[in-house]
Amino acid sequence: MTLLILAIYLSLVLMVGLLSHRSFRGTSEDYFVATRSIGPFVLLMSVFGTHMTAFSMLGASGEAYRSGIGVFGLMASAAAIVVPVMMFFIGTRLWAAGKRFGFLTQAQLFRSRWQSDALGLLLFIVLLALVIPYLLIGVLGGGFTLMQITGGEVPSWVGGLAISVVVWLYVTFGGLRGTAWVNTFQTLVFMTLGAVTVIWIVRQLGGLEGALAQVAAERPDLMVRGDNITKLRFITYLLIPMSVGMFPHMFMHWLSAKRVETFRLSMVAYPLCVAIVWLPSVLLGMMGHLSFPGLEGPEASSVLIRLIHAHAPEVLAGLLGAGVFAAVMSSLDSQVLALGTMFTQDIVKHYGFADRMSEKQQVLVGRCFVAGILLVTFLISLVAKATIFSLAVWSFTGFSGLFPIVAAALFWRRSTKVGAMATVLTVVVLWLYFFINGFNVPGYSAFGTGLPPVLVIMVASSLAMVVGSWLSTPPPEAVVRRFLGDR
Amino acid sequence: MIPSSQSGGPQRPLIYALLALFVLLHNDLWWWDDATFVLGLPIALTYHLGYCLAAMGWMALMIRFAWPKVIDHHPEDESAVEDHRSGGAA
Repeated sequence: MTLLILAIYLSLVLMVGLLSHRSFRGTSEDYFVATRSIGPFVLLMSVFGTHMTAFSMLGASGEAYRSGIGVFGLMASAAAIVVPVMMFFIGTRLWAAGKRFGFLTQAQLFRSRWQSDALGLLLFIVLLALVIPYLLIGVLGGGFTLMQITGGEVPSWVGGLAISVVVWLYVTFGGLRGTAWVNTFQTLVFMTLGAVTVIWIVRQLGGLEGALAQVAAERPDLMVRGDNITKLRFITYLLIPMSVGMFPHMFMHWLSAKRVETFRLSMVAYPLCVAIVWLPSVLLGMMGHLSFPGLEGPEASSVLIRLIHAHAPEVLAGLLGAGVFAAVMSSLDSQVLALGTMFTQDIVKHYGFADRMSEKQQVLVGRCFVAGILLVTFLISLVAKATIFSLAVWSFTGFSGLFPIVAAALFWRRSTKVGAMATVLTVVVLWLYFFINGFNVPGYSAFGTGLPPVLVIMVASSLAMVVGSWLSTPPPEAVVRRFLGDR
Repeated sequence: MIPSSQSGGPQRPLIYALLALFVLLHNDLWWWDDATFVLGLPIALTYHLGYCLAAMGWMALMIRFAWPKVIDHHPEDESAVEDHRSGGAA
């Protein structure tokens, strides 16, 4: 029954994606940014659905299982203010630049802003590398979900493969419009079913008050932040959501807005949506101790699914599993489409291959690249052994480190390509160093100082931007004026 | 031109200063080890839930009083798009 419900759900998702193909206008701009025609509600749902992945359901509940209530402040309420602020200051400006200059990718914008081909190519490679762990979260999450919800009868690779194929199909046929429509549908599904999950399971566990009282009695440390999270980590995690300013998939959704005013609903409603999704995840994660004490490492990421499997009837378990699938796919689709857009625009088109191709062929290249990326991610997922939370945090750390680039491009007239290149290289070197040394080390801090890697990388990359820019020739005033206007 | 932070009313600097204060209020270190329950949840969780709701109101204020002005059409717009799409730097 559970498998049947999941199969029906995946078919529905496919149908929505394929329906959007009817509106396809046959141009690459329509395929990659829906001809910048998305309205306020679909923008909110697609931006939110894209940002909330397996990380916000499986990862958050798993981390709450380990660390308690602090996870909500650490990630959810931090994102609730930082992400809308990013939309306000960064998203609107990127949208305006995209509309005016016809940009479809970040590399196009930064290449034009600083007149540097090398910077565009370097950014393409770095952004691609940083999105891979983020994609893995989705494929691993799909696998975990199917395996746990069927009581281990279906191996995890089947779930990962199933969502990869479905995502590939509707991204291939629907492009950004299909992705936005499906995201809207899926975001509504996972928000609704998330609420149903928490109500149902909490009732099974004796009500909110009773269940929390039991958790407090057995694990009082989860009711406070205490030693589970350091104060420095809590404060510096405000930097993590700044990563949205450099996410390729977020950039793509921002560009799809019809007007700048379209952003307003997303800015205001985003914090509410975050609370609606994260509060149940955190509460259920802690309550997982009542039914499944002693889960370790990546196993803790499956606590939500274990609860569903143990406490919900089969039909509801299937529906709730579909909710987790929805959260997973609504991110995976945008990420792979963004990568397809980047490959088509930043490599194929920019380096002249497109001269020999029609618009249709360019779209085909994007679709093939999407298939290739999904295949690579799926293969990596077969051997990856990592918690969803830590994979996400490492990916976000890299994107946050690149934030000075978008900030300088939009706000600092004196910034130069040398500064931008220095920023990217600083992030690459430090991120690789910290990742190699700290990926498997719980509570890892930079150079043993107690400082989280994200803080060190952001400070260093900001300094690289400032020093690199001051030591190099100022950019031509005409170029700066075109981007930033007169002083 | 990308919308400028310099456009808009005189209240803009005040709004930005208050925004910085609001972001700082996220760091509720003062009840770090307090396990008191408020409204059925541990106090820090209730606080951060309230913070999310306050963020909605804050963003509404930002939109009302500090919305970036966008120049819808710029004399160089069309040529800029052409420049970029022809493969060169804009």
